[in-house]
Amino acid sequence: MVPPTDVPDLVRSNEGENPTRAFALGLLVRVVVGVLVGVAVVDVLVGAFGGESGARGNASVMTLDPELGWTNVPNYAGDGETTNALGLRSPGIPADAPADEVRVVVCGASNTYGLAERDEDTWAPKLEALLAERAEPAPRVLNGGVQGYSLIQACRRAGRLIDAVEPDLVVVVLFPSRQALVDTSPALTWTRVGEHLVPTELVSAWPEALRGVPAAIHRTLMRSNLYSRYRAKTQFSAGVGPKLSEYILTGSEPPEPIRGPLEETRAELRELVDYAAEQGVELRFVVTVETRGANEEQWRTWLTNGAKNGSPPLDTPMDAPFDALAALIESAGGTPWDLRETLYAMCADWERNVNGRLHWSPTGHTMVAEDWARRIADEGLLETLSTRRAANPREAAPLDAAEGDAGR
Amino acid sequence: MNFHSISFGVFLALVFALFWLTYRKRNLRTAILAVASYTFYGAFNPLFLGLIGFSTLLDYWCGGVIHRATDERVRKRTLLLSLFANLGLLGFFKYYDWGIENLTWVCTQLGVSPPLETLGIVVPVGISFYTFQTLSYTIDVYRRRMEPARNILDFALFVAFFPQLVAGPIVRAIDFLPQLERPPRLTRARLHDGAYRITLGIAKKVLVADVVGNYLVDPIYQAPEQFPPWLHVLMLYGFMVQIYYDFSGYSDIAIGSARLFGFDLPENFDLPYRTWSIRDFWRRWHITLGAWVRDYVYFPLGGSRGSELRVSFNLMLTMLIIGLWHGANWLWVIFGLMQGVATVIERTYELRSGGKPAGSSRVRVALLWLLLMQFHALTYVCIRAQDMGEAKEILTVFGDERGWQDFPWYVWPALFGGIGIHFVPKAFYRWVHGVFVGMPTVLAGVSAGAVIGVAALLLLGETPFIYFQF
Repeated sequence: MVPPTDVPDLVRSNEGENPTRAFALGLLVRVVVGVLVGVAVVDVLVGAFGGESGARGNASVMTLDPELGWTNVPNYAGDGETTNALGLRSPGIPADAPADEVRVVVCGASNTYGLAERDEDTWAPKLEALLAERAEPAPRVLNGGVQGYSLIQACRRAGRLIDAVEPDLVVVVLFPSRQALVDTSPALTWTRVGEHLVPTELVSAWPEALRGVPAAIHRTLMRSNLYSRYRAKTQFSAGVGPKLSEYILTGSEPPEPIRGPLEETRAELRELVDYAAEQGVELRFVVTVETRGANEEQWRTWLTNGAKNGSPPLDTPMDAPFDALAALIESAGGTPWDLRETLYAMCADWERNVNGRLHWSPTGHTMVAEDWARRIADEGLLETLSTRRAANPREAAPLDAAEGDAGR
Repeated sequence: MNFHSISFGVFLALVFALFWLTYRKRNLRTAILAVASYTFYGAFNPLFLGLIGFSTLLDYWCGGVIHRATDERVRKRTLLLSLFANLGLLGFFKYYDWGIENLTWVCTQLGVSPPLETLGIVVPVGISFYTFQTLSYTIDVYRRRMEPARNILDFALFVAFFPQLVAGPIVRAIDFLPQLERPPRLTRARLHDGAYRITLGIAKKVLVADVVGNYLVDPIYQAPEQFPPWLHVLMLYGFMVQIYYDFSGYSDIAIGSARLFGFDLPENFDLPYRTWSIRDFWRRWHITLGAWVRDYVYFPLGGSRGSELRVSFNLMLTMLIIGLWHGANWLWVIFGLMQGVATVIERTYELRSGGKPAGSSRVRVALLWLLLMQFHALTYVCIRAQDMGEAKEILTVFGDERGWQDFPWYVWPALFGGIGIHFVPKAFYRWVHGVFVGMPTVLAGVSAGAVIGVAALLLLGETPFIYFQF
């Protein structure tokens, strides 16, 4: 790979001392054509042998997605981890599923997904069992968690799943960590051009009337394996500076670097709230916290380690992030569920309830399932939703619906 | 406009076509390259054009006056004007805020209020590079080593030639201007050679530097408390690999791009991690900067003549200037001084042992090489860290929350291959180069496209070249 330091004789030769224009342009054309062919060959090979490319975390269960950044591989079967045709970590919806069953979908990040735990040990089957005692037909609980998801991604996936599985209740689990914020860089925002959403960075420099051109090029290139993977990677990775990434929400006035992201986040929340209301779907936002911040000792350690990257002052109360995130949700018209007491209780018995990857253990998942079942009962949601669904049964089970085809 | 972007590829193809369509008309082809270069530079920030335009006009005028004047005092004063203006601008844009920060600190310690405030100055891209180029012009004209530029267009192109404007190689007018006089040559072999260097540069940047930087170095710098000490050590080697492949990749693309227009730029690297000697390292690393500082600083100071103490001082000062040239930061001062101390120690050892080199046997060479690698890994913390606190943290704060399994597999071949490739015989590289240069043009394009395709697979945004900041 290292070039010779002297120019070889071949290059010094006087061949073509006075090149014609046609000679020069001919060489250029041949090089350009060659380069395009070379890139195309790699593109085809990537499509044929590249398989699904993971984005981060447990890569084998994840695949790149041009709009969401990444998502779960459909029909995945690994060691204790399975997904259905929609990439949900739950059994598939059978074709003969009761048309009037109540469906609950929960979207979130790695804790919701159940990182490092077997399917049966995660909150979803436990919540389903708890709800089954209270309604006929038994409600179906679907785990829409994806590792590493930000609030934006969870909201966008929730929007897709409203179309795909026609749920009655959607729950989005949020953490007041960097995943609660989005970067405002243009790579992360979308602009509507005609019928399509296009990354803002691709069209922002173009006049309104001409935006169809880059949008069309973008859509055409999305058929390329290389380009679609590149977009998927940059969509949620580019521009996330270390400073912003470690900011968390506090009750105080947000500092300048996170004001923009907060506004973006609020807008995305509002969009999901409006869409759920339009579709007649109940929507709740669970406000919780990373296990590393759910007891005093962990919280102090996290604040100390994150100090140089913009985390709040060391004397910030442990409750501050909850309050700020709840306020953010309420300001966007959402209804928060405050999971703090359960999380504090969970982390009080750290060894038992938190696994080696700092995520909920099987007993931790049980506590979460019980918390959510209690809230559903307290609000009388199950009865309300059962009644609504009985009056308006689904027409067909979306068993084979391709998640990627369902857009908002 | 980054070199490894689609926009640069399109830009390069357009300029190439325009240049060779008009290459028979000397001034027209020069003007096309000059306009293209200003367009390229203006894409970073149009305001920077004013600054480079000012430097160009001033030094062109100074060169003319110095050449024409017969009065030695006029020549000297004009040279001093050029030196003060160029170094003044460089000093203001690059070092003013740093100077004020230090002054403020001193004032605070003394209990007096600081007289000035920092201005939050944005350092123009490439200012350190083109300032050294224009300085070499006026100095060489003063020394009567060369004639001044024939016209302002030639000189403007010399200062702003887009392949090497932003991060070198530092080209001297004495080497560049004569190339404008002769008709440009384009042969199939030269075109292939240019394409080879560009492809090689992209591969170095994306497949090695960015992979190691994005996936190994950055995560550990962002959260050192999560990684064990042995991964910190690998990360230090990782940055060593990253900065070499990043900068030499840029230089390859610059040299290759220039060759497409018939220009030969000087080489900037020669397998620098292959040597066991710190002095030899500086003859292989950023060669054009080392040569510039040698000719315009070290030799005028007296070079290797004089007492041991005097030569040691010359070496220390030269290395300090090399450090400070990179950036306004105490870490760069430390970097320069450490390089200086190592150089002086090596030279002194050789003198004391009667001129016998320290690496006089294979075992000693191997040990010295290992020692030098550790020295590089350690001193490069001064380059990567943002401040003293971060430098200290990366060397002292460890944890065990995360391990090697948190990094993608391709980091490791990039890291170890990046070092190991230095020891492949040069004959192999010549063979690869010869095959590429000799193959049909379409096939050369396909080969380049395949490498670019693989690079695109690993591309994660357009990570700017590290040396853009200098």
